[in-house]
Amino acid sequence: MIADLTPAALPAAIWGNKAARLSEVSSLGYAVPAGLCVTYATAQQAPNSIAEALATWLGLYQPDLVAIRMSSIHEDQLAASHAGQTTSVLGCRPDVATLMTVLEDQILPYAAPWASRTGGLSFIFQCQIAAQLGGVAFLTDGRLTAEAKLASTDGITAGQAPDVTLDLSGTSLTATGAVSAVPVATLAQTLKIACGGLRRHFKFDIDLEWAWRQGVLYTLQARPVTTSL
Amino acid sequence: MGNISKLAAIGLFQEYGLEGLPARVYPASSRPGLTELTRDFPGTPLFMLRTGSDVEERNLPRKAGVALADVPAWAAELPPRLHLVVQPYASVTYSVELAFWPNGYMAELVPGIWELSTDLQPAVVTMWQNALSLSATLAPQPAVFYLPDTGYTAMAALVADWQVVAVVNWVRHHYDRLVRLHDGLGGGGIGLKLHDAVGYGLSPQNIRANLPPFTPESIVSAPSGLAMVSSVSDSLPHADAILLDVSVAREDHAELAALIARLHQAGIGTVYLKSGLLSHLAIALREAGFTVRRYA
Repeated sequence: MIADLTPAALPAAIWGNKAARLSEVSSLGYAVPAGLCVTYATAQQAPNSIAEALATWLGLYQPDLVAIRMSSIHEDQLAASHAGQTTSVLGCRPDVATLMTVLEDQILPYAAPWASRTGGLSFIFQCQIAAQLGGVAFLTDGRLTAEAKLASTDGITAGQAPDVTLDLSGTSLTATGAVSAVPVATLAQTLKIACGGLRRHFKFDIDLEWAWRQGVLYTLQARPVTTSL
Repeated sequence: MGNISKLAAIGLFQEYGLEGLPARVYPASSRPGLTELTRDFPGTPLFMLRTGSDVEERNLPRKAGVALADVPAWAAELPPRLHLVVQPYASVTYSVELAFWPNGYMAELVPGIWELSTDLQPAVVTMWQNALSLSATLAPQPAVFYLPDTGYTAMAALVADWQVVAVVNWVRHHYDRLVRLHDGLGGGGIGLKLHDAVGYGLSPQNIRANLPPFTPESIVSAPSGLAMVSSVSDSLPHADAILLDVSVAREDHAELAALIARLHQAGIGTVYLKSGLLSHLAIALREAGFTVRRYA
C-alpha cells in the first residue's frame, strides 16, 4: 500500500505509530511536512510501484531534500518509546533513483526486526524542512521543557549539546544559551500551545520532535513521554 | 551606590559615545528661543522637556510632547536655579535597567515607560561567563505608553523577543565604551536607565555608579572527579555516577542496549550527559531506570 501522510488518518496497525500520529496531527491542523508512505510489504514486493508513485510525489511537492523514516507499531508506545532505534536517513537528494537506493540499501536491511505478521511497519518519504532551529520538547504536568539546535532538525535527538534550552512553567519562562539568536518567548509559547493541543487530543504527555522555520512550527514526531525528567 | 545628576549623566553619555536620543542643556542664562531650538533640533516637531539642578533635588518639573512653539514659554517659567534639558520627543516602546560590570551584566526590561508602571515584572537578561540566560513572564502586563493622539495610554503588553535581542546587541556593540565609563567612574558596577525611543533606539537616560560586585545565581555543576566514559566499549568504573560522552547512531541501538546492561552491572545510578536531556540516548537511559542529569 502507498498513501499520502497528510492530511490523512492512517491506522497505526498498518502504517506504524509514527506515520499514524503524524497523519493525525496533520488532520488537526498542525503543520507536518508532506510525506509519502509505503508499507514494508510493498517495499519488498512492488518497488516499481513505489518508484512510480515517488516520481509523481516529487513533482507535486518539489522538496529540496527528502528524509526517509521508518514507522513501526512497536515504537512510540505509552510505556516505551524505543527512541532513536528505528532507522532514518536524512538529506537524500530528491530523485527517484537516489531515494530507491537509500530505501533498499540503508533502510530495508534494518527493517526486518521491526516487522510482524500483522503489519504495522512502513517507510515515510518526507519533505525535509531546512530548519532554522530544531529540537525536542516535553510537556509534562503543564510544564514545557525544550532543547534546540540551530540549523538542525536532528542534532538534539542525536545527542548534540543544545544551543538553546527553554523551561516554561505557567507563564514563567527561563531560557539559556543562544537567546539573542532565537525568538525564545515566541518559540516557547508556540511549542506550549502545540504540545498542549496535542496533549488534550491524545490524552498523554507529549514528547515532540519539531522544526522551526520563519515562525512556523513543524511537527516531525509526536509520542508519549515515557519517563519524567 | 553613587547617584549621578541628570546633567552630569548627559555629559558622560556624550563624552563616552553612549548618547542615543540627543539632549541639550540650557542654563538659566541662555534659555533657548525658536531660532536656537530649530538650529539645535532641526525638523523636530515635539519635545521632551526636563530640568536639572546643580544640587540634589527630586520631583523636578518635566513635560512630554511639547510643541516647538510652546517650548520657550514653558522654559521662561522655570526658576533660575534649574537647567533646562531638551530632547526630541519620541515614543518609548520599552524601558531597561542595565547593571554592567566588565565580566557580565544584568538587564531588566519592561514594556512601555517604566516610571509610570513601576509594579511590572521585568524580563531579566543575564550574561555571565559568556553564557546568556533570560527569565521572563509570558503573561501580558498593563504597561503605559505615550501616544501623540491619546496621551498616556495603558495597554497590555509583553517584552518582545526583538527587544531582548536589541539590548544584548546594544551592550555588545557598546562594550568597550561601557568598560571605559566603568573605569572612569571608579571601577564599580554601573547602572544605566535606558529607554527605546522610536527613531533613536536605545538611549541611556540616567546613571548610577559603584554598584556592588556582580553575583549571578550560582551555576549548578556536576560533581568534580566524575569518571568519563567516551566510548560504548570503554570499561566502566564502579561508581554511583559517570559522565557519558558518547554518540550512538540509530542503527547501533544494539550497542546502546549492551551499554545499558553494562551500566546496570557496574551499579551506576546517575548518568551525566554533555548532550541534552531530551536526546534519544537520554530517553533510553531514563527508560532503563537511570537518573539522567545535564553535565554543566
